[in-house]
Amino acid sequence: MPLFTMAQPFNRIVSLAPSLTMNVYYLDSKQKLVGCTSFCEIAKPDKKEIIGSATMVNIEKIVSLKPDLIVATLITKPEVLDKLRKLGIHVEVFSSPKDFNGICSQFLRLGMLIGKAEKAKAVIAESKANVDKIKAQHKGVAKQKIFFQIGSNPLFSVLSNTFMNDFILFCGGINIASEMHSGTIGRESVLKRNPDAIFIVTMGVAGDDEKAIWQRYGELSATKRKQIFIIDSNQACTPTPLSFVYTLEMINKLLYPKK
Amino acid sequence: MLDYVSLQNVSCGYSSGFHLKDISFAVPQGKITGIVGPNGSGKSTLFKGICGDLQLDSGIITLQGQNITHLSLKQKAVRMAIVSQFVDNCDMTVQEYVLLGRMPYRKHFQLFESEADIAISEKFMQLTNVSAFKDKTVHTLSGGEQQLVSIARALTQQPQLLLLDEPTAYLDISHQVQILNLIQKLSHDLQLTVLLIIHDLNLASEFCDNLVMMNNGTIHITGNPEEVLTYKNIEEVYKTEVLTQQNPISKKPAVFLVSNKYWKTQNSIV
Amino acid sequence: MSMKKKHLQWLITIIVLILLLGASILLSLSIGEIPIKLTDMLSILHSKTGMEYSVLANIRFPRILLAIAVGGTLSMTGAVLQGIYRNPLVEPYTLGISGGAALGVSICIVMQLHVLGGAYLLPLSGFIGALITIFVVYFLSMGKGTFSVNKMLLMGVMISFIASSAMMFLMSISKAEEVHSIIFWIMGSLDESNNSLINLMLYSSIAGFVITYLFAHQLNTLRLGEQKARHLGLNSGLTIRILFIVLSLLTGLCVSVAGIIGFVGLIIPHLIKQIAGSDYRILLPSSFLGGSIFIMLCDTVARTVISPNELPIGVITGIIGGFMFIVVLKIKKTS
Repeated sequence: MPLFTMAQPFNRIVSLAPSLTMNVYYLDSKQKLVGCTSFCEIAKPDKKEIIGSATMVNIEKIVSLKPDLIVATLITKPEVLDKLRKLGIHVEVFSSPKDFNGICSQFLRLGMLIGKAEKAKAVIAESKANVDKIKAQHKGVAKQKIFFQIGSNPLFSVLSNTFMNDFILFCGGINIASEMHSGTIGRESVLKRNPDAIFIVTMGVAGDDEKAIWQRYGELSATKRKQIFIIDSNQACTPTPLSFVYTLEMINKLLYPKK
Repeated sequence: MLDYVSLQNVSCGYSSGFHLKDISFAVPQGKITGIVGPNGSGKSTLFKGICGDLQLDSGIITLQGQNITHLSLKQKAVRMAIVSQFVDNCDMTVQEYVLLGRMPYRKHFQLFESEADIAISEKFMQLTNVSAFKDKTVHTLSGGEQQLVSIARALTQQPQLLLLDEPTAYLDISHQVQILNLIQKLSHDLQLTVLLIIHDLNLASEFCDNLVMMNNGTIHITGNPEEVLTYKNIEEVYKTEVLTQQNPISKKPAVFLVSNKYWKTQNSIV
Repeated sequence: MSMKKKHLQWLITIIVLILLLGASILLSLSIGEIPIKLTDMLSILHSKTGMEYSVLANIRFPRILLAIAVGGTLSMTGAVLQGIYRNPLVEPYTLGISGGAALGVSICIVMQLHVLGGAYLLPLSGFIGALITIFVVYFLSMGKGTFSVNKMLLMGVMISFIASSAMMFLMSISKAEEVHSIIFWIMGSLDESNNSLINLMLYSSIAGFVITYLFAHQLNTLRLGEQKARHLGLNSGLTIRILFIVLSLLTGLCVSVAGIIGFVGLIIPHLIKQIAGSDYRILLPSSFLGGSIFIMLCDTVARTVISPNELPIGVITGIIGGFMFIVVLKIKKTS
């Protein structure tokens, strides 16, 4: 992304995705946010205008808020975004980042759009530093096989072309699904690959049920090593620099409690 | 002469309006009784009332003195067997179809038909001349053959009363005669009481011992063919001028229809 | 053909199907990501330890039991319904029960009930949805004295429409992951980890089979139509009511546990009729066995064909079932 400074930064932002709303907040720009989705938890205390759910947005409501910038992910339908563009509003689409670097460059891109490039660079630098600290701990250490499970029925694995894969790589691990191109994985296939650790990304009791199921397989390395962990999906699945670092540190601590 | 079926002050009908009013008559045992009348006179409605397909609004129907509403479905099925106009598109073999007539006699948990059941079904298939079709599928048979199979099934119920709804409606004359001759023979040999709806007055005259002529939801007249099939009755009920003569061989009344061009007293109609 | 010969044919059919079932079980046990040789199987089962034992006992065997229960039930129910409705296109889901169950599950997923309260809440929501549908269909079409089988059919189709519209509404206001979950649940899966649920399904399906078989003669008579069946002494209304309740409950249970697995209830009875005939004394057990074999084989394909990915079983039954239906129709035309 070529570095440029906006001559006139955008001032009235509508966010169509919770992760982007979080990024706006992390850029100290919540006052610029005029509308967001009903799923944007971080904006709830500030009673921001709601423009719809993550999948269905109300175009008229958006227009009534007179935004000059709309930030969206690929979850929003392209026809909706086209319509908004036709109405003369600038629309920026952020596709799902493929790795941590992608998260950072998206954060910077957003920062540049709203005149917070410096703040963005600062946050990114701090995040990168934290990440490098963790990476350094694992240089030359034996790698663990890790299964990162999203959802339970059916089982879905984190794939190597998504940013969540970096959680595994930065902690010195190998993703057991690294050669797979799509997500559903059979339970037997997981057993065959015999991961040393399993991270179940979900929330509430469902995670406990899944953990109990894995624990039935006494031969599984992760069971023997007692390395079956439940991770809250809110932070883990959100592509912002701060959430990434938070989750990475938590995962690192779970895998290597003594370090 | 004992009556097998007796109706007293029976009323029944449809919510859409058509109703039979105050029907009373008796069906003598061991004889063939035909129900005749124009379309819409209530023949089918009466038939359904006797079969139990329509609930009676009032009145009593008795079988050999027993009120029909006090009989269970099974008890009714061993006393009366019903042959309807059509064999619905059925993918059973003739033997399977006929054997279903033994259903009212099946004991609880009896899985297979007994030797007796099979023997009875074979006897009646013989009697109705359908033994040759034993293994054929019912819907591959002709209309006449299907009627014979239906009758075979009804007989397998070993009823004392046989009810037939227009058994000759869609058949050619050879099959019409074949079936009615068969019914006459069965009635005589097995002491069966037969009640049938029949629209062809000549067939009714030739083969029925008694007739019930219906008109507009009530009974116009009952009696033997000579009493019922008079030119006066037919004109009143059917609103048609006919000629009645005696069949030279059976001596039963025969009804002749004459084309308009021969009537001297014809009103000029445009 | 004499009765004895026919009954002998029936016996042979059952024996052959049981043997095929046995072969399918052995096949399913040995195929998978972790290949297990049949010759080793006994020793593995004896040892009760090791990864292979885990796979056999915790993954493959439960799926086989579920395949028998669900496949058997759906297929047998299809055979009964096709006879009662006298319509060859009817299958268990025509009663609208799958719609109600799917709606129940969708509500559970959107409200995240199973995440907060326990995994068992998911099939339970499905079953409650199914129960409500059963009540509605029953009282709207059977409550008063006489009832119409056609009314039931219409009722079921209507409820399916209403349920799927409600589901679409739910999906439009929920998160992407929830929509994902709902869709995958609908596509059907025999991957169930709750052993008590699997046992419940198995015992219910066997009980259901036994109860239905008690009505085999009545079902044969009903092939003539409700009116003629009544003339033969059968209480058509009562028979249909009892069978409706038993089979609806069973179908509701199947859908709650395994999602919507289509085609089994439609195609297997047709196929079995070609082989064994329409007499319910043979059609019921043959359909049950045929359905079990079919689903078991489809499940084996679903979990191995694009390994390590796993396909939802509804995809396989739909494709294979669809092909088989066309083949059966062609055979019917030429015979």
